[in-house]
Amino acid sequence: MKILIVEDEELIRNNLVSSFKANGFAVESAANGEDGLFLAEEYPIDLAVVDIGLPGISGLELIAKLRESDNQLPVIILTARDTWQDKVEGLSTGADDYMAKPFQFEELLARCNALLRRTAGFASPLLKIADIELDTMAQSVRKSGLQIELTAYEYKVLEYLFLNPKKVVSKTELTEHIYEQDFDRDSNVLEVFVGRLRKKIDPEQDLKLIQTLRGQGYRLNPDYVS
Amino acid sequence: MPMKNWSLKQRLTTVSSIILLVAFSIIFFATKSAYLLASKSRLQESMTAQIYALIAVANDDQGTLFIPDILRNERLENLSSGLVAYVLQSDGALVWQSPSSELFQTLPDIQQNFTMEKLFGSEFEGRKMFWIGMPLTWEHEGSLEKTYYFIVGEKQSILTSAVDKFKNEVFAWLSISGLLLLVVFSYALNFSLRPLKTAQNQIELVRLGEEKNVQGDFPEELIPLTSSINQLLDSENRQKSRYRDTLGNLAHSLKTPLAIMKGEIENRKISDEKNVLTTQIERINDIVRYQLNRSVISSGQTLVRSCSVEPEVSKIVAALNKVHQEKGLKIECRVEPNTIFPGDAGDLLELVGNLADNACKWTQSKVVISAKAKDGSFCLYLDDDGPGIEKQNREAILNRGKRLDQKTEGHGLGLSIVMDIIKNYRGDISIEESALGGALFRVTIPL
Repeated sequence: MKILIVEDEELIRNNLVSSFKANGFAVESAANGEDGLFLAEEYPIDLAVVDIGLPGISGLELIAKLRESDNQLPVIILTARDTWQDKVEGLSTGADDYMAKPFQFEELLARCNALLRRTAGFASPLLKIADIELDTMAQSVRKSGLQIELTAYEYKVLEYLFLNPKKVVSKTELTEHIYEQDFDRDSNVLEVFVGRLRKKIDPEQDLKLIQTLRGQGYRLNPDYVS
Repeated sequence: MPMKNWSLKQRLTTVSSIILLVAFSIIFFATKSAYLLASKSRLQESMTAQIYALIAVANDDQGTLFIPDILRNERLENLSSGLVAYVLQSDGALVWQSPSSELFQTLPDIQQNFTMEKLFGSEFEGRKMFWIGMPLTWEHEGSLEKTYYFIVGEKQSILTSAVDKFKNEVFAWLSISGLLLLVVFSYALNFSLRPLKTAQNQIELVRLGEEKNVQGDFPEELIPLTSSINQLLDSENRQKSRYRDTLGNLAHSLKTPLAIMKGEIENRKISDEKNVLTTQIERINDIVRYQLNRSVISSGQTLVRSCSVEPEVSKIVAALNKVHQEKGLKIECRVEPNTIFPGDAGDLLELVGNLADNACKWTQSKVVISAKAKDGSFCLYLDDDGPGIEKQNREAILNRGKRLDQKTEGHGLGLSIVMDIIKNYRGDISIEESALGGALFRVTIPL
């Protein structure tokens, strides 16, 4: 999952970037509204965490501009103001959730995960397709109740596919969503990840959960996706 | 009602009625006395004519005066006519009297100094009479000169009945014109006061929060008033938003360092030190949050005193639906149409937001926010189907809401802010058992 952090305070931004990275997110960050808006519009971002009190265009203006151009990117606002008038203003502008500063990173992470699931149409933090159960909170995967050990990138690939269950995901898209923008991309590496992932979640090769569509990308087997 | 509370319309109606009454009374008495004067002089003229007629027919008859039976006014013959005539000698003895005067037993007293210049009014044997008279020196044959008094009397009622008739006529006409004037006046009053009424309605709309400022064209006398109200509203709004901005900036500049500290501490390994620092940062944050949120609450009377409840509650419901979507809650808004909150919309948002947010935290599946006006109060109810609050704990929760340092989990800062708002608006809050099974928070604020 690729997350965008727009925060002008360098220390907070750096802290957020490293914390999100440590939790398996690909992270883009911006120190002001203009850069934030550019990244949100031009890059394949899955979720944005936006500070309201930004220099230049404010966080609210950024969200308003996104929504004006019909961009439904899920946004969590960080705000120092937490009167209901401010919350209502932020949420009615188009933010999907808010966090009052100072915040606990765990809570922000939980809300980000919840928002991502909500966007994908899942209600619970446990995403279950076929006999594979993905826990977005614990970032763990079980098959028929038994834990499967995945590397961080294997998990990211599976999570992205689970959160876009009815979509054909191209290799480029998958790469963009799991790597930072300056990462040296190599689609062969991705094929290796997917190959290993298939073996781990489907050692008997009878499930065929992840399908390859030649020239288009990957998708979850429609038989399991209701 | 004391006079200084009278409405302009009452004052104008009273003053104009008094003016009308005084003016018409003066007109009435002036015309009456003018008419009386004119009638009197006409009466005097006709009585003078009687005297001259008598003098004209008087004859010398062997040293005394003789009035023949010619040229007689018929009324002098008639016993009940009221017109009487006498000719008396200088010693008061009777020379001649008209047949009509036989009504009286006595003769008029010549000591009364009757003149021709003025009607002399007197009561004569129980009848009110006017008199005129003149002494006349008659030269009889043989240079005998004698003075005679010619006196004519007329009953006063001949005058008063005419005056009464005139009085009635004048009174009738004055009454009719008075009534007409009142009708015209009340129309004129309404016409003149209409701009005031419009201004009053406009200000009422502003007070109810329906309009942002006083709108419409007003006569020049009212323009200073309406434009100052608009200026006041404008500056109040600007002040309010500047205040909010300042507080927002303050919040931002206080909380950013707190957020940095918190982030840094979170990255440390678990230790006693970390726990102490985390607790203290929480404490600072709570105080900052509480004091900042509290200072946004309007402290008392502002010009705009009301806002419509339904739109504000809808905003809260929309916000809560987003924030608590995870929980799959059903948040219902049951605000009776046209319910008015007697204060700033920001305060209402804070009140409903905090209570509803608490309800959402505790509830199982459903939260109902209802509001209505009842018995001169604005009533707000928050029902949930959560575990509810034990009777013995209810008072304690509300009391703790009054004191920041003893806040409870889930009923924390929000409830403190709610208690502050309720205190500022002289309202009341109680916790009861909801029909849904959970807690019911009931807030009443006098309108």
